[in-house]
Amino acid sequence: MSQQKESVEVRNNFNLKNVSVELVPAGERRAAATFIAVADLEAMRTQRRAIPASKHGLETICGASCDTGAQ
Amino acid sequence: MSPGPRTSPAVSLVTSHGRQSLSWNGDERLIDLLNRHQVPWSALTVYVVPRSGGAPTIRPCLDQTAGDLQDAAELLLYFNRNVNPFLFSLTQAMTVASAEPERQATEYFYQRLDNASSTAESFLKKLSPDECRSVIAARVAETVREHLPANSHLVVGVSGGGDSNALLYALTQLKDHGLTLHPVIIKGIPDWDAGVPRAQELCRTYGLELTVMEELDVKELLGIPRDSASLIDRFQKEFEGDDFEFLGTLLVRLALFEKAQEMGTRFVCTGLNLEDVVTEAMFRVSTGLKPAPFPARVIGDMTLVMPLWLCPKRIIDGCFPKYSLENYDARYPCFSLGRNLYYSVVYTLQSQYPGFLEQMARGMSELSLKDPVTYSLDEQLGFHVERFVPFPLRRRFQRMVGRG
Repeated sequence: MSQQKESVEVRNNFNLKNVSVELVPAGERRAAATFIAVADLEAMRTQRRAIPASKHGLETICGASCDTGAQ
Repeated sequence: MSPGPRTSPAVSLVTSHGRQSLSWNGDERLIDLLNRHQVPWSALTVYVVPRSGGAPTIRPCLDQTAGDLQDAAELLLYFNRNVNPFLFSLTQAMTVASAEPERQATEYFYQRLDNASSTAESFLKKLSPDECRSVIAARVAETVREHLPANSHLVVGVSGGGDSNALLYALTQLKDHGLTLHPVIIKGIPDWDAGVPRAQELCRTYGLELTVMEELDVKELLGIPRDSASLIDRFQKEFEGDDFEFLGTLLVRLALFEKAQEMGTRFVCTGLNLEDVVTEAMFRVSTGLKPAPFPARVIGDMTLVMPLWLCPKRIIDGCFPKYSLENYDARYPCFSLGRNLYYSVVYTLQSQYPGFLEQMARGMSELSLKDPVTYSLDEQLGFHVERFVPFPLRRRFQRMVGRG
């Protein structure tokens, strides 16, 4: 059952190129509902953890061929 | 018989994440349309669907307008990789509520990346001078605590511009580290000379004694005869079309080292900011050189510290907006192609991907401090260099300083 669900998701993702989306969003002025402290924004800027290339860090295992997943 | 009304071909951006229609604007070229929507041209392959029917064919047409493409019913702009570059777009950034809306001096984009959900959220924060100063003071305090021993004497290079003011402000706010500051300004070119009254005013404000090094003493740092042509004339004569900043930074370093020696300390600092350190590191890495150590660099028996290394110029400028404007009015244009290139690359990265420059700075700093680059004294030149100076260049430099 779970296998069937997975294959449906894969097919749907593969077909995304034919689905209309707003990839390039129209610019609009949006105000944040909440106040964010400068210290929190600064932590976001200067202490953000480096983003791994793979969501689960698979480059540690597979990276000898290419860390960023090029085939 | 007059031609019928022209119809622009439809434009579809096709990615593995979805498809979107884009519209032409007047007589713009395809490249202009892409730039307007922030679509990277290098990531695309363009196919034309003919009006006459048949299969789409590949067409290099970035320089063409809708009018040039009358045979096309549709342009299919295929992304040539399966990534979604619009994830990081700033067009949907939220403006963060401000505590002091009437006192905004600058603004900066921040981005929160969440690896678990593969999402990015962007925020535009307007900052008051007080907020900018608190940011710079916090970043400077972190660097000083990590790289300077407590109770050090620190020689500080100042120019009288916004950066020096922010740097001096931040250093004087650090009360629990026992720093003693010795600000120094050098003279010799009109830009520098213009900063002296501002630097004097600043140092008075902070209760610091400013050392002003006159042009004659600056010339002596390189052994240039005191009664010879001005520094800038000598430089331009020998290195026409190049930027004085290169010689300028050397002179600042030599002046600070001389003052440090006189004060019996080995610590000096300058106002190199985030964009400066990343530009230098990008230049070095892209030309096959290891990043030079930062934010603390040992040169001979001196250590050059860069307390503003994680501070973007935009936030530095927000600390004292009036000083920044005066500083910009005194700017001389930069002509070196390379300096223009490396800085432009860095500004593009910083503008498109907020926070990424900081990630690069931290990563390259880590690399730079492992088995760091070393500098050796060049007896002939009289100062420390990293690598071999080719003979023709050495001869020109020697000629410039009057020893050729």
